[in-house]
Amino acid sequence: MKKVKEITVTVNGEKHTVNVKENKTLLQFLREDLALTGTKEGCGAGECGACTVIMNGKAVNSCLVLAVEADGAEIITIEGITKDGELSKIQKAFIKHQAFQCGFCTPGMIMSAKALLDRNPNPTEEEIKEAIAGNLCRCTGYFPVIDAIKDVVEGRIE
Amino acid sequence: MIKPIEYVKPNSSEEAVQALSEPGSKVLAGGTDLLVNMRNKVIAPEVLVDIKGIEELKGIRFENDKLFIGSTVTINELVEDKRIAQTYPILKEAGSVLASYQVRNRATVGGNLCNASPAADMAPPLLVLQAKAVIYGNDGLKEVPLKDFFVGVKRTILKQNEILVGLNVPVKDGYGKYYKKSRIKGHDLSIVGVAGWRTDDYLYFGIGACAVTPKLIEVDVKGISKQEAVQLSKEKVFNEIDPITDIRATAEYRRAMLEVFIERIVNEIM
Amino acid sequence: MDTYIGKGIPRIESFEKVTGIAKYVNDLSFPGMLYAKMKLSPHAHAKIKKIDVSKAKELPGVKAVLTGQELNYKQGLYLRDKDILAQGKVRYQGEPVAAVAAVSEEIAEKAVSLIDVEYELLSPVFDPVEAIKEGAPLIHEDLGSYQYMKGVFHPVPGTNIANHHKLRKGDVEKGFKESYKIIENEFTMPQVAHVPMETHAVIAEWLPNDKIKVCTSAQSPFAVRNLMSNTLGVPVAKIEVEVPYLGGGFGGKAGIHLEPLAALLSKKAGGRPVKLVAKREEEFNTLPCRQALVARIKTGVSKEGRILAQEITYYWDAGAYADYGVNIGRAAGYSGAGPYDIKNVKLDSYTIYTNHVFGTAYRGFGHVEFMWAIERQMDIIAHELGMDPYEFRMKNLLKPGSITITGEKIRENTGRVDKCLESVAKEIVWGTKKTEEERKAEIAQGKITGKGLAVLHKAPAMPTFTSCSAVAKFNDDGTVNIIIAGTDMGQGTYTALAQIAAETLKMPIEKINIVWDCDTKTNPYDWQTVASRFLFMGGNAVIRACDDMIDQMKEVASAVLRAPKDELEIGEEKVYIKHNPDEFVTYQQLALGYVYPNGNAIGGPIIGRGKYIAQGLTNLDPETGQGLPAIDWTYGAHGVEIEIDIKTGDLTIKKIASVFDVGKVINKLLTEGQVKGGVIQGIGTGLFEGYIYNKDGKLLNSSFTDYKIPTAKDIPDEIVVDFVETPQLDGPFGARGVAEHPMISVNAAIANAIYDAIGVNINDQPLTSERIWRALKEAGF
Ligand SMILES: Cc1cc2nc3c(=O)[nH]c(=O)nc-3n(C[C@H](O)[C@H](O)[C@H](O)COP(=O)(O)OP(=O)(O)OC[C@H]3O[C@@H](n4cnc5c(N)ncnc54)[C@H](O)[C@@H]3O)c2cc1C
Ligand code: FES
Ligand code: FES
Repeated sequence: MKKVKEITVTVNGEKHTVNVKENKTLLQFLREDLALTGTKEGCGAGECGACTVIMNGKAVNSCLVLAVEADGAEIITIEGITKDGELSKIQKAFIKHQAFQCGFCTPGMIMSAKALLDRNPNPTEEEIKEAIAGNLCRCTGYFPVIDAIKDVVEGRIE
Repeated sequence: MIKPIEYVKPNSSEEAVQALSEPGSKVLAGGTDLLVNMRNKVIAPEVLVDIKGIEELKGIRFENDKLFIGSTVTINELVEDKRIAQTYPILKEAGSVLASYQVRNRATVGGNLCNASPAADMAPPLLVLQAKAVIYGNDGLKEVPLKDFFVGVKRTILKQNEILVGLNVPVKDGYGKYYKKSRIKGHDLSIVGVAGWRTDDYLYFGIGACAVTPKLIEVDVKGISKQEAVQLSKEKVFNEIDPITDIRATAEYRRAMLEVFIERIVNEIM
Repeated sequence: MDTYIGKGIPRIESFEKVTGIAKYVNDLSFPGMLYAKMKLSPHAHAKIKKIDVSKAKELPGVKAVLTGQELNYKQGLYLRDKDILAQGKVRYQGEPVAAVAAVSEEIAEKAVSLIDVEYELLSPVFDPVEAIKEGAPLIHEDLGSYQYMKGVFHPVPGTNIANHHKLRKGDVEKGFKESYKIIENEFTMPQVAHVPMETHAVIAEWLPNDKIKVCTSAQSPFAVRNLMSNTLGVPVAKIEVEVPYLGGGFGGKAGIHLEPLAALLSKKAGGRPVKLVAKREEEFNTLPCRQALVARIKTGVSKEGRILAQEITYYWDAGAYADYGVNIGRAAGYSGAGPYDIKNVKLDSYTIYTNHVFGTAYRGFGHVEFMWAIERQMDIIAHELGMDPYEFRMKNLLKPGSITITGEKIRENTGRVDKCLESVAKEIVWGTKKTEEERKAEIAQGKITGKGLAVLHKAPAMPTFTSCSAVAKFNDDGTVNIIIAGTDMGQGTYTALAQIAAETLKMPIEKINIVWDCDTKTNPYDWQTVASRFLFMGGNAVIRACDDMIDQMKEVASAVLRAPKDELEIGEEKVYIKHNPDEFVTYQQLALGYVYPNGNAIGGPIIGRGKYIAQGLTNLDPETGQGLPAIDWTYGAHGVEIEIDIKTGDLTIKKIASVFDVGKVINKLLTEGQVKGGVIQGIGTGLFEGYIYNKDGKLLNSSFTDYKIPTAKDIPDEIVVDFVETPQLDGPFGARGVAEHPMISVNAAIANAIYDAIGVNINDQPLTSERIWRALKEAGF
């Protein structure tokens, strides 16, 4: 058994055709093979959301996706949402409200927020909470995160 | 870390069944149970058969008198489906409290049932809706009532080389409700999950996390009052279910929550 | 110029954190790096009869295998009692017994699975109260030979008592005799996990020249260097410890943890760098948690509601090791009666070994645990006296002129706990009782509401000689680098220090750079970033470093401007003559040395030094516990409004108001953030968190599946944060620390609100819906 497979995956707009080990998770692939270490591992078991990336438009826990399953997929990570050095509105709102402290959950939190706003530009507070409840944060108590997302929704971020 | 594996992605049920004839192979759907168990070394399959590329396992279809839910339909697809929300809001209710948003983008309905956790959230509502499991194997397709699908903790009637194609749910008018008790409001496995459904003169209860498998209980409530229905439902449920104590809750608390939910459900749907 | 003090300035490292470019230990890798994995004990207490590592060693790709037998070292901060890998016996399940370094994680994991360990079970002990009884199994037979900080801690060899801290003030017997009522209760609190989102991670290199380089997720690089040197017998000068970005600590990354193990693996592997990252399960199971507590409190009160005497016994479940935990027992010994003015106090605080996962510092350092007991007890007493709990507290709280239990006099500027309490009470409209009709209406709806209050206090718990230093130096362009060795694990101290530096140097904050990646080889000394002390001590050090720069600049400017030094002033990045501001030199002109038009130069690069050492602290008397343990006290209070589902026991926090006397708010945005985060962590402790073991001492909830922390759906409907500002005379701009305080007493306020709602006292944590449901049954619902 060779246990390695060729996949083609687009990450942050860049297409990669590479051989990956079949037991490698998407999270390991991003961090180890592509050196995109912005995406974090907090549990490796789908519980904490630190590894959240957007796959074909949907927020997923990259620790629960095999890299081979991402063959043909389009992935966006935290490294892919800053355009030409200009922060996205969500990132700016996170700064304004200080929606992070240690910053470890932040990439995943931002990706969940982005996926939410991409699918629903006008979420209610309940919908915001639902969208980020899978992202554990031990530092902020979530209030500033919710405030930041609301600010984007209500057009208060330039 | 996940141990080395081989990954195959068949395009049809036949190919899948063939691949599964290899010992040590296992179906991969959303992977939200499977990959966690592999990481935790609870299981160590050698070949993963990804069924997400198989057409006949996909989609939600209303066909005359029945609803078909493909086994690889994700929980979020189910929750966000408008017709489901109209026809079977109970499925949406249960789906919405299963895991976290991200997990629901991967977790499939079929995976939830095939994993056969006593606490599987999709089992109680599908049980009360009289769903039938559509199974494909060497002998072709067969249908089995979902209540006969579960045989023990994490065990189903599926053979090594059989797959769940989807669920056939008879379309019938009725009212339903799903209540889940867990330790926190955020994503958490249930301590007690109760689905209730009323059609004609019957009440059906699907009970999760209280026995070795999710259970279906039928109560004939013809001509009786709500009060009596509550009483009778509790009796019937406790005839068949004797919850256990584990680290999530004591048996006593589970019983109490069962009673509370049965009462709430009867009051709401009768 | 506007002042920077009090401003809501976003963290200086915000960009790095929202873009994912901030690098944490696990994001780093080095050429030739190996990956380490640990073999853990499945038993709580067992003799290691044999370890067979032969198969692991043979596995291709394995570069080092270690077992406890080879490692004759003890590590620890206050009491050196901990094995790097279990030696001879294991003392808790989850304890590492062997470790492997290999070329990949996969191989390391495989190798670990090939290690065979043969155990002989020993009788375990899990209950701290049982563990100090005669005949209880001994967990550390060699306690008498361990090294510890003498004069500060008091281990009792031949027992499981790692530390016995005594406090005696006044005459409790007399106080009880004079009392109108004596009220006695027991309160308990389970072990709780820190749950930083980043698990412990370290990369270590032990080079062939015996130089050790460590990159670690530690709260304090200097503590790691010092303790590694003690443990391994390698001179401090040969050890370099670097801390990059830290993904939360909460006390769990204070002291020393996996660093020596990673270094020893590297040594065995010939000096290749070794990375060891704890899995989430190991974070729960192998690395330390917060100690559990059994608290017994007996209080005598007068008819008018004055506390006359209090006898307290704290039984701390230290778990298998108490290297750091002994100091928690000590902190409870000097702080453990709460912010109350009590004449007669007898307190015994025992830090006790058991066969549980071991405990360590955790945000609050014992105060979350014992304030749970104290603040429940205060409510219970008030109810028994028929007094309003608010009035009762007000009557007994420390005020200027009061004497603390260690004999310290409270002064006007110590801080005002009464004002904090008053403020939260107002916020939740305390004092308006529900009418019987309103109560019935609530019950008919299936929900019942209640309100609760609780106060808190805490001082930094640290050695008397704790110190800190800072270097401030100019860059060529007149910007300033501040180098300091406290760490910023998210609490935002670096930002506050930048504000303090900008304020002191009267220059734009954009030109202040707090150097990240804290490193012992370049940064000046700091003890540890713990105990809510960094802003206080680091702030003072930074002010002094900046003042030193100013002094040096004036020195040179005095020559350049031909004016006496004392007639010079600074502002707008210039040194000018007070009465003639047009005569000036700019900071940039002075930064590296002033150059006259003719080419002559004077001065030279300006580098400021600042230091701070705790002042006036004394060791506590071993018999009476009297002395001065605290550099500053931060007080606070919480008020909560809750709603309980009377059928399920589900609890919703409708509102929580939290107020702290921080002396001076340096950065409003960050301080409020700190409070909100702490309050939610306090809610986690209060409502759901706690280790659950089976009868053999196996931890049953060692993952997020069954160890639940609050999510975005578990937060209160509303949170109100406010501050009282009684300036701390020796604090930087009057400030004192508030890092730990927000999570203290949240649990007690909630339980007090439960009593208010249903009239049942719950004295055990956590307040799960099942526990509340039982209380509802007891109340007849
Ligand atoms: C953080 C987290 C929280 C969770 N919370 C909940 C919760 O609240 N409630 C709940 O019910 N579950 C929960 N789960 C469990 C899990 O997400 C669900 O059970 C999910 O529906 C499983 O689906 P899947 O597609 O991911 O299954 P997989 O993991 O792909 O498969 C599960 C099992 O079923 C088998 N299988 C899957 N599909 C088929 C098929 N078509 N035919 C034959 N065999 C098949 C697989 O071989 C495997 O043994 C949680 C999981 C995580 C990680
Ligand atoms: S690392 Fe993927 S969910 Fe925690
Ligand atoms: S900012 Fe630290 S975990 Fe969220």
